[in-house]
Amino acid sequence: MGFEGIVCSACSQPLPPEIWPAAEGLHCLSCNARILVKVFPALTLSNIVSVPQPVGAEQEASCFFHPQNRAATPCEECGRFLCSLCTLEIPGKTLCPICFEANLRGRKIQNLEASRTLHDSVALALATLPALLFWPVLLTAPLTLFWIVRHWNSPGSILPRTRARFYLAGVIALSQIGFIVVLIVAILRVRR
Amino acid sequence: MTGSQYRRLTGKNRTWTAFSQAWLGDDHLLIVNSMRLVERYQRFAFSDIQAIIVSEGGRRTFWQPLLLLVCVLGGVTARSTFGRGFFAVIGVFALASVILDIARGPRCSCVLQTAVSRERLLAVSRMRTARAFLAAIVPAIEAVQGSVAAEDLAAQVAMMPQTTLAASAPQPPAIDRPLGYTPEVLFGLLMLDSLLVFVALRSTVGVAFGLLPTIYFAEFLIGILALVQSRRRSTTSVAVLIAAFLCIVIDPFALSGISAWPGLVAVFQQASSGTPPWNMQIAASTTTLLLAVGWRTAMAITGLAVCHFERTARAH
Repeated sequence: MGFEGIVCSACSQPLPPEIWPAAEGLHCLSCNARILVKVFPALTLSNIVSVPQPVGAEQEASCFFHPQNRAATPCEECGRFLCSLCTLEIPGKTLCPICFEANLRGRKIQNLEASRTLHDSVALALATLPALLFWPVLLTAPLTLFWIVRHWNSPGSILPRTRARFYLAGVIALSQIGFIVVLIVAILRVRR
Repeated sequence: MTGSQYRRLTGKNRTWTAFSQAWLGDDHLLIVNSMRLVERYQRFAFSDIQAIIVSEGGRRTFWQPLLLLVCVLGGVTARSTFGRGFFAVIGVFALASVILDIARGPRCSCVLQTAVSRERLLAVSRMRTARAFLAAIVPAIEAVQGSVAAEDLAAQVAMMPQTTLAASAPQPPAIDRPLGYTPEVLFGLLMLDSLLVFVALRSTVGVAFGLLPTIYFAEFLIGILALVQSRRRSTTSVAVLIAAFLCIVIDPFALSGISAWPGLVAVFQQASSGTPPWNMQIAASTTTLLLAVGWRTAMAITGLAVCHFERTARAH
């Protein structure tokens, strides 16, 4: 994708460069919506893709994955030599594709994670929603406690978050179990 | 609390089942799209961000004023204390949401552009939020990319080969989205309504009358939906839709309901005061009901025909 210019976020029509410097109060020429445009130097940089260099001499180190390419850098985990095509740079590390994949699968690099399950919210939902139908709590209350124990140390949100939902779900689940026990005892006494 | 490298940039822009929020990281912007039980993350490195564009406007509050109007109408016509109280409580909530919407200031849409993507930032939905967002993120981006005046950037871009500019860039083919069937459903419902009235007049089955209030309410809601979705329709279709909706709105007050509407209200009051009768009777004259049958049938046939011709024309 080459440079395609800046477009209005309301009507997707191009905004000519002449009007970018205008302060607040600028209006789109197409839809007349009031717009704020902030441009950065990255706009003028071309999308240059680094091209690997071919191996020049016999003794020259070559890429582990592409023997015809000259090695540019080693992987910081496995030490394999890599050409510029195979070098994957993440914050603080340079990895080969295999180590990158392993890190991704093992959730070792927080900056690469695309999603996370919020186990505390799951536990809270499990403790509260089935209670609306009452009888499912016979199953879901113990399940909630299991879920809390199972996922107490599982990675949660990458954002600041307390364990309040876990505690609340635990209290609700224990209350439900207590209520069920009392109900069963009461039913048994009435029958006697 | 879990230690975090992120600083909150915006509040949560909520929908019924999810929310979106922007956070500032050490070297990137993090957009969190939460579906309550799962969070999805999008990261934009400061070095990749080319531009941020904010446009004022966008989706306006529609349902709250409509609900308020319905509550006012319902409150005026309701005679029982329960009915008035019910509409008053709902109306207060609708009014509060309208006031809150106005207090939050004008809406906006914000797009973040990189070399390979344009991402709509749902978390930035108000101009006030957008200004605070820009005030926080611009220094962070400029710390990475450096600060260049917009005039200089505009001059550099103006000197770039014109062949790469958007105006001459090949545009993707237009997506031909299929038309929805909401107008057909509306016109079909009008036909069903007229048929029910006709059956009620010609037979002793009173249940047909009992169904009328429900069908009228459905006509009203589907009419609104059809009008909202009518942007890609032909002018004729839109005109017929508007005419049908106007008839639906006017019907209980003028077209056929001068005598039917009081009867309908009486039926509702009877229903709210005790066990609703299964066979409701609307106190309207035969002429009035025939008028209701007539306009609905005419509008339904016209509407279905227009929709059919529109689909045929699009297919060719």
